[in-house]
Amino acid sequence: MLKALSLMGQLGYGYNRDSFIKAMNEGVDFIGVDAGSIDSGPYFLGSGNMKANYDATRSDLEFPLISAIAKNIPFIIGSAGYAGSDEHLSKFMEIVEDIAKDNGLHFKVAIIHSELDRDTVLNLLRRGKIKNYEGNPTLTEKEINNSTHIVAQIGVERFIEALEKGADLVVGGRATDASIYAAYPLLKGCDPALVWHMAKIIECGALCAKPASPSDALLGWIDYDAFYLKPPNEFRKCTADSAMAHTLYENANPFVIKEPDGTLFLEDARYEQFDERTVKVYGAKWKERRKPTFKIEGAKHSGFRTIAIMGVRNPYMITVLDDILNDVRQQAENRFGKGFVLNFRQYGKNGVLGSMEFDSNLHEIGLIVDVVADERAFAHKVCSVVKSTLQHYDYRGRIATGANVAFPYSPAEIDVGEVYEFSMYHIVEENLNNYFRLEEIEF
Amino acid sequence: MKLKEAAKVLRSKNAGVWHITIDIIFKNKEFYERAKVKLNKDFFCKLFENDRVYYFKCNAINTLKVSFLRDSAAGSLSDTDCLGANFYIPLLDVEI
Repeated sequence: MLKALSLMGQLGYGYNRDSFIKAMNEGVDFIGVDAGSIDSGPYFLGSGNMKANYDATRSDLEFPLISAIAKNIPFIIGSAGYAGSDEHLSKFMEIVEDIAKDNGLHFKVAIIHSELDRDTVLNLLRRGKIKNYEGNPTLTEKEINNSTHIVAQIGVERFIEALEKGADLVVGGRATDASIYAAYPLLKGCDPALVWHMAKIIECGALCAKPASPSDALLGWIDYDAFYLKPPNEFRKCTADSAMAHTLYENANPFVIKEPDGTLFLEDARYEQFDERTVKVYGAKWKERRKPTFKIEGAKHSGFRTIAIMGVRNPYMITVLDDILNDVRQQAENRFGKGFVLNFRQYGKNGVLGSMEFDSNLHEIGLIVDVVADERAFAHKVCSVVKSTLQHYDYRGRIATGANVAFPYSPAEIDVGEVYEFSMYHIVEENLNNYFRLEEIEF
Repeated sequence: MKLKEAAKVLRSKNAGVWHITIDIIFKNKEFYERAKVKLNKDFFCKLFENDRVYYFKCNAINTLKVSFLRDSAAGSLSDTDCLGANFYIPLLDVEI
């Protein structure tokens, strides 16, 4: 029997210390935690900035790391620094180093790099090794050349190697969530189908429990014929329904989960209530891939954003707002040419659903003038002119000649800063494990 | 009966950068069986104006799941919903 502890769903959002201590007292074989995602959009990968900052990350990492080292069990982290580029890894390692220094800790760290350089990716593209992902646009050389960071979601192989080399702490770059939790049980010879299925569920911490929470811990243990899930926090429980429903979460296909190292088939999986707070799971199938494939993620710099927020409350102006906005856009293009992207976001009207909006009730519109351009000053200037045109626009039938809109802020223009967009999310059909450098450090 | 009354979970979320996935977990087998007649693959193709919708019936947990490609990648300049968490809204009041 092998016991895994998932510290929480994502490092940096506040873990439950009592749950952690309780689980550690019961005894676990390793601790895992996912520290990143692609969920929060392209900014983090593109800029190299962490999402959870130094303090938030350190406060979730410090005590669990000290505890793991004291008990001599491995601590495995994936997608360190959020997006897993080398810049993220080095920012994350500053925190690890400070924790080691301030607590006088001695331990071995293995860092697994997941960043790919542009030439490597260009070469893969030219050799026809990069495929679209489920119908998304085909990758071009231009998108590769424009990317500021490109990472691959690493699989389990390098994590296993890091553990074999005796790492106390594994700091993985961008990694599939399941690989974090699959490495140690696979190294110990557990059944791969049970391992991958358990890994896929526990990576979100207590999100698969009732009540659900990504900020609380989850215990998973693997026996010969099944695995078991239980939240250490007695306030929560795992039920057959909650565990099963969780396998749907953020997966496009509920029955088939593709990993770099193979595919997990869940059609025959069975979930049974074992005791009041524990669910027993078995029956998934695992088919190992003869040659691993990898998902690669890239982001590019798309300029600088300035926005202006304003409210439109005049009932008549609301009825003609689309025409006004079209004309204001035209005026901006006539004056400044095409070197900017202007979006009008009409909250209260269709700001969320866009063309899918079906509800025509409205009495007020929160309007955001959103300008992105290559130069910071140019984005600001366009936003400023568009804002002022709207403020004084003399639409037909206008009787309120003060100002057309309500500004909550002075100044109205807000420089948001650098903008990034995803440039790639594709599949590489070649074994990239050799690119994922393993770096060993000892404190 | 409206879908929002028949479902205990009705959510959408990104599945990666380019896909939206919608989970509809029904309160019980009866509601699920009733709903899946109307909420077939065609229904979702029309609703989301997308002819490549992946459609799954998860009978064991009375759940329908639908996934499809977004018009633009999450977080792109024209995107309105970076997490893809609001694509279930047009489903709330669907009569089943």
